[in-house]
Amino acid sequence: MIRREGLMKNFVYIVIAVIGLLVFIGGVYKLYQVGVNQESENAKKTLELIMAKVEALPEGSTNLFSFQGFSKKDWYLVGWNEADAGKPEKCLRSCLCLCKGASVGACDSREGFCRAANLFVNVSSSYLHSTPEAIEEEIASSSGGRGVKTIEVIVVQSVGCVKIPSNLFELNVSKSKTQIDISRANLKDVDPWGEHALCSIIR
Amino acid sequence: MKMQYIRGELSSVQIITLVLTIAGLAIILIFLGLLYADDGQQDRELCKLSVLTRATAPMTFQALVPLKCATEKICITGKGECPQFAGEKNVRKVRLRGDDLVQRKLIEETMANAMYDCWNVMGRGKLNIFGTASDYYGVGSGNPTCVVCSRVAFNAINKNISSIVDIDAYLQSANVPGTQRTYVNIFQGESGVQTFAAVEKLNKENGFTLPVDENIKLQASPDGGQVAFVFSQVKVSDTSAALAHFGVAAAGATFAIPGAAKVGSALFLRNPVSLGAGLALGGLAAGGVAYNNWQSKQAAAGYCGELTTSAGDDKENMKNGCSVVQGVLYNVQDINMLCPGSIQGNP
Repeated sequence: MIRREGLMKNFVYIVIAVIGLLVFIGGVYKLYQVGVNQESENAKKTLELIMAKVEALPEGSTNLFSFQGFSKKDWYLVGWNEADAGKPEKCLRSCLCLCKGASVGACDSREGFCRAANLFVNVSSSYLHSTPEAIEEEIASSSGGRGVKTIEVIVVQSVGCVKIPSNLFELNVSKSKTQIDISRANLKDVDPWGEHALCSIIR
Repeated sequence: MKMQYIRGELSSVQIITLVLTIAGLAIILIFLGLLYADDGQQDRELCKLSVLTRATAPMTFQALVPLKCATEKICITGKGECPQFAGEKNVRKVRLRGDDLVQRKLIEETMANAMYDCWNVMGRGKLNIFGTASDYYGVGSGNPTCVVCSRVAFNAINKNISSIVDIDAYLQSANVPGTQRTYVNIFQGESGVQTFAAVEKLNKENGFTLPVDENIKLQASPDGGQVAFVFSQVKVSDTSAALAHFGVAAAGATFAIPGAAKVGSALFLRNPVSLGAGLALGGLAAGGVAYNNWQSKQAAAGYCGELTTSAGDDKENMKNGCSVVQGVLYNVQDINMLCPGSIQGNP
């Protein structure tokens, strides 16, 4: 009898311990998942907000809108049109996508979000890029003649996507009867790593 | 009389243990449910809860705790909708009614509350909210990281009202709803540091220059006429120079920590940036109000000192920091000067 009571007591404690442990493990897992997914959630919201602003913009007008970036540094806004080859499978017609990573595969992954657009979509960004350029010039030496000198030249480059920063950014949106143009100009800072250039992999 | 026990019956101790355990589990589940609830349920309390969770989480896991703080959108309007929020959801509309004085009070109250809520929800600047999270997100701990608590947009505001609104004065004289303390008093915290005099003195003697938004262009864009209440925090080993990280630079002003504000004290800074210019843009769009009337009529609340973090964190250089809540124009230039690190929370 005593042994049975002891077993019963232990059984209750074991059940409580197992439930507690499961809740704890579940909580930790959920915490990890949500922490990781927070970025995706923000990306989705940002894309929806961009689409909402585009839709709210009257035909034939242009405007500058501010959007809140999010923390990771490798999210890209890209646009595809119906006739484009090699577009993501998610994008059936014209669409606007926000993807983690500069590849079509990234847009097709769980961390890629696309929204269909009824008009032709054109996304672009221009940025400053430093590039070495060789110039031929007179060299002051005993032998005289001409030599080649390399200098860093800052050029404006334009690519077919927008890299999302970690803080506030502006998009210039213009809408016509047939087309939506979304562009970002960052002509203040030189992009030393050519991060924007990764856009060319997608588009 | 001898008590009779039925075989397998639970004792009172077991029942109490069981009830307490179930209650504990229920509390944990409700907490987790709230923390990971859908967007519709996100509110100030949820944000506060996530802030507390992150601040008390072990440093290693801090980055994994999401900040469930969505930017509140407030439209102060004399008539119609605020075009600044076109296409956006969950916009709280504050309709201006009554005479000029009533409308003025409503604007001042709305903005003071937005600032206070931001300060309060973020732990009054004393919690280490970003900690290792700022490193995780690739911005480093040397740059201020921000949360945009609210965006306040203005539409169709009468020019008479825009010229008399003085948020700074309101913060000094009005009590926080439900308390017997003024906003300024609460911003100053327990330290009771009165920094008005210090700032004034600094202004005259040490070259503290009031910001002047000379470059503000009048624009009728949907993004014009918007002010954001932003919470920013920076981790530094030396708090004496920390406020220089914030910037007051946002409006091109030079800045120094007031003498009265020692490490660990709360501050109330007067006129660090020109909030009024944002109002002016809204006002201008509505009726040509000169923004000069609005200049330098806002304040910021700040705290510098040891930030509360999870137990066992013994990294000295991670303990100190400064936090500031201030209203800035919602544009890339001003916001990014204040938040060169990153912006966290939900847009």
